[in-house]
Amino acid sequence: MLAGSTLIVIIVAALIWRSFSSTPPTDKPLGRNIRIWIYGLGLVFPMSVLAALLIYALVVGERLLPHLDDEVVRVNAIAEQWRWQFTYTDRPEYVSEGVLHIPAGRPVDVAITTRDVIHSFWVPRLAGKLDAIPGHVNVLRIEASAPGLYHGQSAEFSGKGYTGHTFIVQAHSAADWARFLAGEPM
Amino acid sequence: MRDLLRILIAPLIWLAAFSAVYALQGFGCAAGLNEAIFVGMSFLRAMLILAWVLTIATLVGIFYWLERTAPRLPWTSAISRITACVAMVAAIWSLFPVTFTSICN
Amino acid sequence: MNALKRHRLLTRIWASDSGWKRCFTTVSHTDLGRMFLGMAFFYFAVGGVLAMLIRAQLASPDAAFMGPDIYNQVFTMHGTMMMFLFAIPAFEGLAVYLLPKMLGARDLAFPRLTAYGFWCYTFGGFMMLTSMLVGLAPDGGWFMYPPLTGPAASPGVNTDVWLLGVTFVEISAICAAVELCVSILKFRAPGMSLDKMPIFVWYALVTALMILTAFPPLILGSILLELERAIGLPFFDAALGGDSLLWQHLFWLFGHPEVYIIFLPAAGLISTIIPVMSRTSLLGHGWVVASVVALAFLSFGLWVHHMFATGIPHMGVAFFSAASTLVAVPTAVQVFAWIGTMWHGRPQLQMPMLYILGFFATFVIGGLTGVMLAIVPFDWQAHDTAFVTAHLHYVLFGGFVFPVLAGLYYYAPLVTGRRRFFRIGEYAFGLVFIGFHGTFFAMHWVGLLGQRRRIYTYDADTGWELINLISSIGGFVLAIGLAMVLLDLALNAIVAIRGKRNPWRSGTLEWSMMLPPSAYNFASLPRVTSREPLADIPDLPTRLARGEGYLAVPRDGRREMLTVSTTHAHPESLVVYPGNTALPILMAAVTGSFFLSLLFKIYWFTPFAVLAVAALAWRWVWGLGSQTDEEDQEIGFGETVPHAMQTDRSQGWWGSVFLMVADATLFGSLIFGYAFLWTIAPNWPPPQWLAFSVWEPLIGVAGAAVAIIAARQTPRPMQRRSGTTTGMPHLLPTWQSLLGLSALAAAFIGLLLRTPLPTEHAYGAVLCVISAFGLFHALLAILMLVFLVFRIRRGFISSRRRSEVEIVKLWINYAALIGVVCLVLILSPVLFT
Ligand code: HEM
Ligand SMILES: [Cu+2]
Ligand SMILES: [Cu+2]
Repeated sequence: MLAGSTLIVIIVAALIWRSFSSTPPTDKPLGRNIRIWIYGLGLVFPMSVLAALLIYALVVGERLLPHLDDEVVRVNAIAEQWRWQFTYTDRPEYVSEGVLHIPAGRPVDVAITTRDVIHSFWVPRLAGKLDAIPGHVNVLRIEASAPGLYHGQSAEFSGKGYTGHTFIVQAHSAADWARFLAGEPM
Repeated sequence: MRDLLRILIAPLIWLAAFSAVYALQGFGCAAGLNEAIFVGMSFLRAMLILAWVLTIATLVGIFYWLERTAPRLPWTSAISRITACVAMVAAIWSLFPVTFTSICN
Repeated sequence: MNALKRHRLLTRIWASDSGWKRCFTTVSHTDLGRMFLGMAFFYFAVGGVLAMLIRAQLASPDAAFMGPDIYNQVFTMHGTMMMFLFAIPAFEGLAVYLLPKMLGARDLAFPRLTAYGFWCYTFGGFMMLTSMLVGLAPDGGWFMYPPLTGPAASPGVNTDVWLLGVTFVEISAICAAVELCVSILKFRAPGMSLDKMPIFVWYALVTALMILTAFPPLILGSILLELERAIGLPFFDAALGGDSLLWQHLFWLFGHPEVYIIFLPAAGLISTIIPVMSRTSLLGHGWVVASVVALAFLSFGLWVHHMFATGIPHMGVAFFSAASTLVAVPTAVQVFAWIGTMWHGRPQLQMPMLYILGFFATFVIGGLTGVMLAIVPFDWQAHDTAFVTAHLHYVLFGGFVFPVLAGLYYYAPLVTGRRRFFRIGEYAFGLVFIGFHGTFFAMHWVGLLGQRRRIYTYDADTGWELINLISSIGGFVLAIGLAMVLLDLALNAIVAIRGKRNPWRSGTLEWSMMLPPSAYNFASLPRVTSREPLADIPDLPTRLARGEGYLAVPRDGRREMLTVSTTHAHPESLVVYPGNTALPILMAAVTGSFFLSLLFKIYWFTPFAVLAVAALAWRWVWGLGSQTDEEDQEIGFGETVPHAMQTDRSQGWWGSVFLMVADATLFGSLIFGYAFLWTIAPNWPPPQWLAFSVWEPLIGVAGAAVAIIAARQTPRPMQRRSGTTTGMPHLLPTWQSLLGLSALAAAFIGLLLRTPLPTEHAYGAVLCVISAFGLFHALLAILMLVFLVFRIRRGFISSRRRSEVEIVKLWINYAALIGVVCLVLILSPVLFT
C-alpha cells in the first residue's frame, strides 16, 4: 500500500512538473484531452485501484470476524476511568485488574464493555481496536501466537487519566494456562 | 430551478436509498429477521438484495427519464447525465456488500 | 449623466456610515466579507498559538509544561477553533465578499442577515475565547463524545460552553448558507444562466446547500446533549434508554460532510485560479460541476466510517467503506481536470500558483492516506493514533489553508487595488511548505509506531522522542512562515503602489469593477452573454461605469437590485435593499443573551430573551414594504419588471424555502434519533408508554387542515357593498388559519403535559422534544399570522402587494405539515404497543 501510494504521488508530481514545460496549447485538441485526463486518469484509474483495494479489504474483514469455534476462550474486559478489569468464563470468581491472562495459540473472544464513559480496547500486536460503549457489549477476537507480554491501551479519549489508561495482556503456554485456571499462583 | 433539480435528483435518490438500506439492515437485525430463512438465504439478506435491485432499477428509470425529456438549458442535460451515472455507479458500488458480507455481526 | 456623477450618486446611496459607526451599522457585503475574513484569520492565529502549545508539550517525553487538565482544553479548543471559528467563517467571508462581485450583483440577497450572521459568529467566538482565558474551556475533544461530556463525567461548565457557543456560531453558518443559495439563484446579472455562472459560484452553491443539510444534525445533537445536561433528559444515558452512539451518529452526519464543506470552497478557488494562471479555460468544466455535486452527495453517505471501532456489523462497515473509497473518484476527476488544464495552457509560476503546487503535494498525500483509512483492517490499527491527526491535517491544511492562501494572493489586488512590491511571500511559502511537511509527515510515522492522539505526554523509552522533536521543530518553522505571510500581505496592502485593473487578465466579472471595489460594485449591471464576459468585452468596466447596463439610473436614493429567473436569468423583479442599521448587532446581542442565560443557568431570564428576539424580528420585517402599490419599473434596455413585493416569489419566499430545507433536515435527524433509540439503545422498552387518546390527533389534524385551507383564501380582496373590490384583503381567512394553528398548538401542549416522565426514560424525553418541535412551529406560524393581520390593517398588503402573504402561507403549510408528522410519530407507535 505504501509503495503504491508513493508511486501515485510520484506520477502526479511528474505530471505537474511536465505541465510547466509542455508544448503550447494550440496543437492539442480539447476532446482528446478530456478523454485522457477525465476519463482515463480521473475515472478509470482510481476506480480500478479502489475496486481492487475494497474487495481485498472486505474479504479480509469478513475473515477476521469472530466465527463460531469450540476452541475459543471467553474473557470479559470491563473498562472504567481509568482502569481495566478482566473476568474469565472458565474461572468464574476471579477478577484481574490491569492484566489480562490468555492462552497462547488459541483464539480468545474478549467481551468488552464499560462502566462509565467510552473507552477502547486495543492491543496493537494482537488485533485492531474495539470500543467499550456503555450499555453495549462488543466482542473482539484476539490470538497471541507465542507466550509473552503484550502492551494494551485504551484508544478512545476519556478525560484526565487517558494517557495512563493502559493494561497488559499476558499470554500463557498451555501448561501455564491450565495452572492459571486451576487458581494456582503464577 | 427545474434544471437544478434534474441535476440533483439521481444522487438524491441514491442517498435516500443508501440510508434506507442501512436502516433496513439495522432494523432487520434488531427484529431478528436474519434468522428467518427464505429460499436458502436469510430472509433479511433477500430483502436487502431486493432493495438493492430496486434502487438500481429506479436509477435506471431516472436515467431514461432524463434522457427522454428536455431541460430548459441544453447544458443541463450533459451534467444531469453525469450525475445520474454517478448515482447508478454509487448504488451498485456502495450496496454490493448486501450480496456476501455477514449481516448482523 | 456621466460616469463620475453616477459614481457620486451611487456612492451616496450605497456607502456605509462613516467613522466609528461604520463597523456596527454596515450591511455591505464588501465590508462584512472583510470583517468575516479578518475575524476568521484572528481565530486561525489563536488556533495556531494553541497548536504551538501542543507541539511544545509533545516535543520532549515526560514534559512538565502542561498537565492533562490544561492540555485537554488546549487541543479541544485548537480543533474547535480551527473547524468552527476559522474554516467555516473563512468560507463565509470569501463567499460574502466575492459572490456578488462574481455574479454581477450589487449585494447579497439579505444584507442585514449577513451582518446578523457576522455578529453571531463574533459574539459566539468571544464566548468561547473568554472561557479559554478563564480556564473553563471545553475539554472533551472536538467531537465531544458523551458520556464523557455528559452531566456525570463533566459536571463543569466547560462542555456547556462548547454546546452553546458552537450552536451560537452555527447560526451564522445557516444564515450565510440561506443567503448564498438565494443570492446565487436569484441575484445574478441578467443573462447569466446556470451554464454561464463562474465555476467558483457552483462550488459555493453546493457548499451552501451542504451547510443547510449537514449542520442541522449537529445542532440537534447539541440541543439534546444540552437538555440532558441541563434538565436531565437522558438521550445519551444507556441506563435510561438512551445511547451514546446516537451522538456519534449525529455528530458524524455533520462531521464528515463538514470536511467537504471546508474543502469545496478551496477547490473552487483552485478551479478559478488555475485556468487564469495558465491562460486557458478549465478543462472539462461540466465534469467539474458534476463531480462537485457528486462529491457533495457521496460525502453524506460516509459518516459511519468514523465509527468503525464501535462494533457495528460487518455489512454496515462494508457499505461505508465502499462509499468512502468511491468519494475519492470525483476528487480525482477534479485533480486531473486541474492538471489537465495546466497541460493545456501555459502555467505561470506566480505567488498563487506556488500555493497551488503546495496544495497538490499535500492534498494528494492526504487523499491517499484517507483511502488507506477507509480500508477497514488498516483503520482498526490506525484509528485514534497520530496517523489520523496527520491525515486530517494533510487534508485540512493541504485542502484548505494552501488554496486559501493562494486565493488571498490572487484576490489581494482586488481587495486593496495595489500590487505586490515586497517579495517576502516566496520565502514565506518555502517555510510554510517545509514546516508543514516536517510537522505532519513525522506524525504519520509516530502514529504507525503506536502513539495515540490526545495523550498529553509519553515515556522516554518509547522510541518516539526524536520524531516528536522533528515534528515540533517543523511546527515552529510553519508558524514563522505563516507569520511572514501575514507580514507580506499587510505590508503590501499598506505600502505598495496602485496596481492596474485586472492584473491576472481574468475573464470574470469580479475584475470588471473599480479597484478597490466601490460600495455599489457595479455602476450598472452587466448583461452577460458568456462565461467570461470580461474576456469577450475588454472595455466592459468602462462601459458599465458609463451606464451601459441595467439599473444605470439611481432612483429615489434607493438601493436597487434585480432578481432573475433561476435557470435563464431573465430579469424578474426589482428589489430595494434596506439601508445601514444597527438592528443586526442588536439582534445578535439579544440572541447572545439567550445563550448566556442558558450557560449561566439563569433560566428565568430565557423566556424574556426569546420574547426580545421575537420583538426584534418583528421590527426587522416591519420596516420593509410599502403602503402604496407601485407601477412596474424601468430597468434599462427597454425592459420593465414588477417590484419584488408585488410578486408571489420574493426573495423572502426563497429564503424561507432554504431555511425550511435546514429545518426539515433537523426534523429528519430527530426522527432518525427516535428510530435509532427505539431499535438499538439498551434498556428498552420504557417502563411506561404514552396512553393513546383520540383527542390530540383529532384536534391537531383538524386544526392543521383548517389552517391550510383557510390560508389558501388570502389575499382574497375585500368586497365593497357596491360589488367593487378594495385593494385591502379580507381578514377572515387569516383569523381562521389562526384558529386552526391554535388548535394544533393546543394538541401539542396536551401531549407535553401527558408524556410519561421525560427524565426517567429516553422515550419520554424524545416525545417531549418532538411535541416541543411541533409546538414551536405552530407558534412561529401563529406569530407570523398575527404579524400579517397587523400588516393588512396598516395597509401594507394589497392584492398586488402580496409577497408577504405568500411567505406566511408557506410557513403555515410547513408548520401544519410538520405538526401532522409529529402527531403521527408520537401516536401511531402507541397503537401497536
Ligand atoms: C497551524 C498549524 C497546525 C498545527 C501545528 C497543528 C497541530 C495539531 C496537533 C499536534 C494536533 C494533535 C493534538 C493531539 O492529538 O494531542 C492537532 C489536532 C487537531 N487539529 Fe491541528 N494543527 C494546525 C492547523 C490546523 C488546522 C488549519 C486545522 C483545521 C482547519 C486543524 C484542525 C485540527 C483538529 C480538528 C484536531 C483534532 C483535535 C482533537 O483531537 O479534538 N489544525 N493539531
Ligand atoms: Cu469522514
Ligand atoms: Cu479523511
